[in-house]
Amino acid sequence: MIANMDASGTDMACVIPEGFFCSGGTTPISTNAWMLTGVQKYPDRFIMCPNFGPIIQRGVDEAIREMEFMVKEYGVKVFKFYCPEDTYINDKRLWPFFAKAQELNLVMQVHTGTGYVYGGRNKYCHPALLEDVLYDFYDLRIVAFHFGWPHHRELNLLAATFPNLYISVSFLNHAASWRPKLFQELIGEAMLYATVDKIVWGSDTNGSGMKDCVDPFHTFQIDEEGNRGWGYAYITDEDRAKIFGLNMAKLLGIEPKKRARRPI
Amino acid sequence: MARKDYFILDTETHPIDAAIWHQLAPYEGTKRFMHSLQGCIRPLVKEFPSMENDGAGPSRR
Repeated sequence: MIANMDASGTDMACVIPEGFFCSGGTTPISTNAWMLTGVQKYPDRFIMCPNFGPIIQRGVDEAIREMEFMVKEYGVKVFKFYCPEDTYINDKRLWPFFAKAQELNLVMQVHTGTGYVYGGRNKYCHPALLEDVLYDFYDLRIVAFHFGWPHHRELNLLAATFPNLYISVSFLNHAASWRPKLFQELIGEAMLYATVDKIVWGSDTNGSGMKDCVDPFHTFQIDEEGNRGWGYAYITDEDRAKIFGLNMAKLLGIEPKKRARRPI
Repeated sequence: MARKDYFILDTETHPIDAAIWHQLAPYEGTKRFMHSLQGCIRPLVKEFPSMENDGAGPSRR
């Protein structure tokens, strides 16, 4: 993982366990505890991003207990809510969980868009469901993943309204080289409505392939049709710097200094 | 033009001991979906390696 981060110029990475209990087939044995072994070995490169779910199935009180434990014992600042295998983002049973996250000043990363994996429920992931959470937990800083695709326009409009809602390009970043017109729409609309100050980078890789995600975004540019026809702003070096790392570093209170070693 | 040395913080990586992506393989619809967005299907991974090799197992070492 570290070698791949160095090869891609990635300085730090949030490491996240996802259960995928819902998808059948195999079951990953990744756990929060296992992730911690890596984070403790490379504290300057890995950021612990625990997953306390599936919250409803395990019990909200138990999820809150683990959240408090992770913050107190390991200084956790960010976590992932993986809704496809859990419940609707705006399930009121989650309100005590969100309240505790807000109280602890955590950043909540949440999967949005579709379920992606068979067994993960699309209906749990629609970004419009975030609206109830945003109104009731106005100070909770939320990073909505995957541009909210294919419901990215609804997500962008929410991000235009709520100052603490951010958008992650995770997983869809590959479209920059594979389907550039799609990526242009995703990044162009997000910059137009959410603003470039609220877009953050993400690869959604397991390390391998990370360079293939990072490299295209170094040079990706809005084309003339996108600019003149759709009103998308051309991406500047300053924009890239914010999206690649400065925005999330600010959210997490991390000094944005280079840590990746240049590949030999 | 020289590439700028941006500070890069990845908000989502999954160092996983039984890689999640291969779970997608049995489902044809998901294959098409993955291919449409990423241009590839992630390799099947069966091993249970350590975080040092990305969860991709001895086959990649």
